[in-house]
Amino acid sequence: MKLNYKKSLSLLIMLLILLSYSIIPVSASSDYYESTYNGYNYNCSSSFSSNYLSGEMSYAGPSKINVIQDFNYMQSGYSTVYTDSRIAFPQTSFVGIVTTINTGWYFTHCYYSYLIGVNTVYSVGLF
Amino acid sequence: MIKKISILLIIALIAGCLASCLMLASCNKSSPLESDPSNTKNESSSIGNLNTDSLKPESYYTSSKQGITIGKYLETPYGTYYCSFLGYLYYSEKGNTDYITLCNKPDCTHSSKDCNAYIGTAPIGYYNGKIYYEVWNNINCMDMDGSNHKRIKTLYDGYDNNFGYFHNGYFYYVITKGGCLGAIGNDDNNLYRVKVDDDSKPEIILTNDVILKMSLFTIDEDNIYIIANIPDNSKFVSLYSYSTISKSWSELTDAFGGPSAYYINDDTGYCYINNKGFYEIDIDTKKMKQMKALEFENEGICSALYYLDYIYLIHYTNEPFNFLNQILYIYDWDYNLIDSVEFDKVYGTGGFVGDVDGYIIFTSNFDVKPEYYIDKSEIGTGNLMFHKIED
Repeated sequence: MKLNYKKSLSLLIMLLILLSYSIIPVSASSDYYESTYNGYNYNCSSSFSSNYLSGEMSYAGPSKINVIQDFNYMQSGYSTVYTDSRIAFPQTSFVGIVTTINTGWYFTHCYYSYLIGVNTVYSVGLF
Repeated sequence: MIKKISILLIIALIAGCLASCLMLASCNKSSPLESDPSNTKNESSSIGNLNTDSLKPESYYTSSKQGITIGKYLETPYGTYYCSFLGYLYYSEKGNTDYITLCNKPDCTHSSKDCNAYIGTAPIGYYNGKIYYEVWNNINCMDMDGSNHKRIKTLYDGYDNNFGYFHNGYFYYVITKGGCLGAIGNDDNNLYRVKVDDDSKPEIILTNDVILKMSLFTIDEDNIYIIANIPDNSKFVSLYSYSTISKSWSELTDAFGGPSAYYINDDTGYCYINNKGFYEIDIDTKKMKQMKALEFENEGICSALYYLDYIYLIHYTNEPFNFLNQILYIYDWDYNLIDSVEFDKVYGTGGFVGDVDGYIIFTSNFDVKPEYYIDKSEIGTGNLMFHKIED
């Protein structure tokens, strides 16, 4: 009986962790994800710093792939929040997009979306 | 008993996970570039109806307004609209009343890009009974009730970014090849504009290298004002003017207030400079004058937002800067302090959203819909407070 309780409790904790992970944005300066789509491997690599945003994707399949950066940025000494969105030129095999900002400006947040064809297969927010 | 509760919790969590998976699967829609938003008519009769009470001149609604954000909040004759940083469009009948997600798609969770209210992160504008919005390099419009999305025109070929906003029936913009203002790689020194409601092509209205170091621009009738960064100086910006009639270009000052701290109207420039105070510049003579000295013990950063009734000075007190602690000071146009109130409800990035009729609108986070308002009739009564916008 005790063993069943422990099993249930373990399962409960695992589910809570998984669920938390799925709804709370990742608070980190980099992220890596890999999976398969239509039987082919793909991976997504994202990085964030106050003056540099980078998103890269590789896919072994024949479909076009793409990366979108939705980001906020500001100018030092002022409170205006600028929003922007950037998309790469669709490619097969590998696609990447880098945005670098000059001194006096800084990024506050970036949300990366990774697409195979028209489907978003992975997304992550970094700040 | 504990076992039963545990089992029930597990079932609930599994159901939650499945729902999340389904929700994520529903996120897999086309990118905004390729999207084809549903044109389903919005069935709620109260959304997007013309409100004929106390109408202002059309130019008031079509002109760009000051804010902490750019082109996110619209006051129109049909109600007010807000586009969140997450890209969802909301409607409120009076600005201080409930903000409704502009989507009538059945069972939509309003949490993925296939939601009808999702229009992306670019600015919105009002003109002649339509809401205009920009997606990548395309100008789109919709009816005031959020239905009938249409692509109006493509600004240029390719995948270059741009920065701009809608103003009096035009979209004014600069092309930012590096991805945004201030980005490495920007090399287009033109300011463009395009009419939103016809089939005309974009036109260049100004070419100048100052555009490459621009922080923001303002359109006032036939004049364009550009504020530009001064390297290693976050206290001042340079202010330039350009007349589209006489084609004259002029540097007005190199000691002006930056974005969210300046306003230009009728040959006068107004600005606030951190821990120095309020200033005005005569555009014709280039003479700048301090109108009111102001110094905070904790310098922080300030926004100065100039509206018809009042000037709002928002002091962000945290060092280093963030939006968490902010105090709203309300001045009349003679720079007399009328009232002040603390806004301590921000998490992340939030604060002032806009000014509409008798209300000042705030939100705890720009990712979500506006949540708080100040009733202007309470200004100066000693009872100024933020009210929650109820659902």
